[in-house]
Amino acid sequence: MEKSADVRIDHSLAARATRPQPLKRLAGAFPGLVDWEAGFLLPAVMTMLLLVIFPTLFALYISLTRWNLTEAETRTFIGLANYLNLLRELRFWEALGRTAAFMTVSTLATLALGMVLALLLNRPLPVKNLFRTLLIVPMIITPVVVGLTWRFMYNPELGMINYLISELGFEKIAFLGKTATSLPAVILTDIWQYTPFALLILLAGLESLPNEPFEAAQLDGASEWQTFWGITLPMMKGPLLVAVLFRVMFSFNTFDTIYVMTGGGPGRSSETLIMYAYRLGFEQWHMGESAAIALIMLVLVTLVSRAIVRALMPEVEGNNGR
Amino acid sequence: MNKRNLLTILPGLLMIVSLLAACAAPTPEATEAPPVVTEEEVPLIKRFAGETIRILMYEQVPTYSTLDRLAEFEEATGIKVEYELLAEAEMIKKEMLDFSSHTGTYDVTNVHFWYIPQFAKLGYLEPLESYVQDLSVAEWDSMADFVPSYLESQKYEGKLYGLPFQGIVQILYYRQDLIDQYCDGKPPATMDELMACSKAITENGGGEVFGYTDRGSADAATFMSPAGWIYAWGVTFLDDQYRPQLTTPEAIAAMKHYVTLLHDYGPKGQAGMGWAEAEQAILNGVAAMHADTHDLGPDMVNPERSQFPDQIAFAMPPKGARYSQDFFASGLSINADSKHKEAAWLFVQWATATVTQLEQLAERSDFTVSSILQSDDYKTNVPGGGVILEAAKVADPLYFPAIPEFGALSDVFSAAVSRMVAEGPDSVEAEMEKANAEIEKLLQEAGYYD
Repeated sequence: MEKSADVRIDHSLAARATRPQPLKRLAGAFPGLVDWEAGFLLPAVMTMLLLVIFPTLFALYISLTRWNLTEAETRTFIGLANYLNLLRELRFWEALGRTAAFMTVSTLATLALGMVLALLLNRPLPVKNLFRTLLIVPMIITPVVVGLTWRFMYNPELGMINYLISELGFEKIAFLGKTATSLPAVILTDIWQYTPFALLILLAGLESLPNEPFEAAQLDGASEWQTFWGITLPMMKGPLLVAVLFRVMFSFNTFDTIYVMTGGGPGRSSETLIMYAYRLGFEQWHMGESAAIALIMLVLVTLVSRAIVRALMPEVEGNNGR
Repeated sequence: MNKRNLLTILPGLLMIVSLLAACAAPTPEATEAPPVVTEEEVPLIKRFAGETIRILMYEQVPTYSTLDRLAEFEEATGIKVEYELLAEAEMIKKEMLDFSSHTGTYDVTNVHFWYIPQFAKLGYLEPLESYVQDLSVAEWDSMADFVPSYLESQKYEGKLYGLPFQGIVQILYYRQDLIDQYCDGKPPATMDELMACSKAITENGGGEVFGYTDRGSADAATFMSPAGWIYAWGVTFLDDQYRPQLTTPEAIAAMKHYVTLLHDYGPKGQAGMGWAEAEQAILNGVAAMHADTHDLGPDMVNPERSQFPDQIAFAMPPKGARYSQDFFASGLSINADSKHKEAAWLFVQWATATVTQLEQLAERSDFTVSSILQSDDYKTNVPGGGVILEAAKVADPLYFPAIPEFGALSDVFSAAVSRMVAEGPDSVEAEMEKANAEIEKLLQEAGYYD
C-alpha cells in the first residue's frame, strides 16, 4: 500500500505543470491523488457544494438578515441582531434546556438499553435471528407513525398504557396533557424507537471482538462483571463512539415525533430548539431568526460531538487536529 | 483544452447540468403560444380558450368534489387546468414561498381567510373588483348569493381578494340521551347553561363520561375556540388600535369559563387535545358536548365512526353577551404575479358558483351560498343542516385578529391556553397577563404602535 501511494505522488508531481487549476487545487486537498483521479471526485464535490455547503452558507446569510415573510421589505442585513435577540429570549434558553435534557436522557438510555440487549443477543440463543429482527422493527417505522401510535397509547381514555395503569388500581394519567409529563413521555418514545439503532451498532462491535482476552480473563477467574468493565467496555470504545455520535445528532434534531405527539405543548413544555425554529420559520414566518436557531444548533451539535470524541477517543481527536 | 482535460471535467459538468435542470422552477406556460383571441364577438366564456392555468389547493372533500367536475369547466371555456394538491400545512408553505419569491408558478391558490390581509398587504393577491364588474360569466355570477360573512372574510380594507370557496361556522354537537338524563332534555343555549349541564354530566359520568370537550393543545388551530369564547363575552381579541384585550375583565371571565369547562368537566388530557381529539371524544362517547365547526356533522352521525350516531343532535353555539365563534372560510384567489389572470378569474368564478356547488350537495356541507344553505335538500340531507344557516348568520369573521402577524399571535395565545387548561382556572389571570404583554410587545415590534 505504501509503495503504491508513493508511485501516485510521483506521478502527480510529474503532471503538475499541465494540470488545470481547479483540479490542481482539488488534488492538492487530497494528497496522493493525480489530476484525473481528482476529476472523478468533482461530481461528488459539486454535489456537496450545491446540496450542503451552499444551503448552509445561504442559511448563514439569512440568519444575518431581517427577513419576515409578513413584511413587504425584502431581506435587510442586520448583522448579529437575530442571534443577540435570541440569546435575550427566555424561550430560547428554555428550549435549549429541553433539547439538552432530551439529548442526554435519550442518548444515555438508548445506549444503556442497546448495550444490555446486545450483550444478551451476543450469547448463543436458539432463535437469535428472530429476536434480532423483531428488535429492529421500531427503528424502521417512520417517526410520524411512531408518534401517532404512541400518542394513541398515551391517550387517557382509550390508550393501552392508561388501561394497564387503571387495571393496576392507579388513576389514569394524561401523559401528553400535563406540563410535567409531556417531555418525558416523548423522550420515552424516542428511546423505544432508537434503542435498536444502538443495539445494531453495539452488537456488531461485540461480534467483532477477539476471543483471546475473554479466554484469558476466564482462566484468571474474572467475574462477568469484571470482564465487562475491564475488557468488553474498553474494547467497545469505537462502536460506542459511533453510536453516541449518531444518537446525539439524531436526538438533538428530533422533530417529527415531538411535532406529532405534543406540538411542543402543553404550553411550551416540550418545545425543543428545532420546534422553536419551526414555529418561528413556518408559523410566524420570521426566516432570519429561524435560520439563526438552525445555525446555533449546528454549532452546538458540532461542539458536543467534538467534546464526546475528545473524551472517548483522544487519539482520534489528536489525529484530526494534526 | 486538450482531450484528456476535457474527459477529466466531463463528469463534473454533466452533474452540474443535471442538478441545475432538476432545480429549475416549472414553467408550464413557457412552451405555450400566447392567447390570440382579440375579437369582441367571442363570448366571454370562450375568450381565453387555449390558455393553461395552474392551481394550488389542499387535500380535502370540497377540493376533490370541485376538481372531479373540472372537465365541465375545461369544456365550457377551453382553458386547460393543471392542479397540485398538497396537505394543508404544506400548501400554505408552498403558497407563501411562491408568493414571496414572485415566481407566479400558480395562477389560482386556495387561501385561508386569515391570510387575506397579509397577502393583500404585501401585494400577493389580485384585487377582484374589476373582474367582478367586467368579466363575470352570468351563469356563474354568485356575488348576490354568497353568505355575507363568508364574502366579508375575503376582503381587506374594503377590497375583495378572493371568492369564498368553503365556509364553516360553529354549532353545538350534543348527546341527546345525556341531555335528556341530566339537563332537562334541552341543549344549553347560554354559557351558564353549558357550564351547569357539563357539571351535571361529569358528576354523574363516573369518570367515564365528561360534560364538555374542546381544543386545549398548543397548536395554532387551538386559537379559534378560546378566541371565539372571548368574543362571546363581548370583547374582541384585539381592539381598534390593535391592543390585545386579554387582561380585560370580560376576556378573563371568558377564559375562566373555558378553562373550567375543559379542566374540570372535560376528559383527561385536554391540554394535549386539538380539534381532532376533541371530535374523537364525542365519537367515542367520552364527552357529551362539543362546540366546533359544522363540517364535523357527517362524522358525528356516521355509524362507522361514531358510537352514538343516533343520539348526536345539533344546536346553535352557546351564547354569552354574543354567540361564541369558530369561523373558518377559505377562498380562491388570483396570484398577482399570474400571467393568466383572466383565465384564472373564470376558474375562480366557476369553482365558487352556486351552480357548481349545487352539483356537490350530496358530497359536502361547507357551501358558501345562502340559496343552498336554506334549501330543504340541504336542511334534510346535511347533518345539522337545520341550524347551519342560522349559525352562519350570526358568524362574525371579525372575531378573529386577521392581521399578518396572526401566526405569531396564535403561537403565543395557544401556548397560554394550553398551559391554563393544564393548570386549571386559577392560572388564568397570570397566564392572560403574560400572553397579553407578549402579544403587545410583538405587535409593537411589528410597528402597530410605539
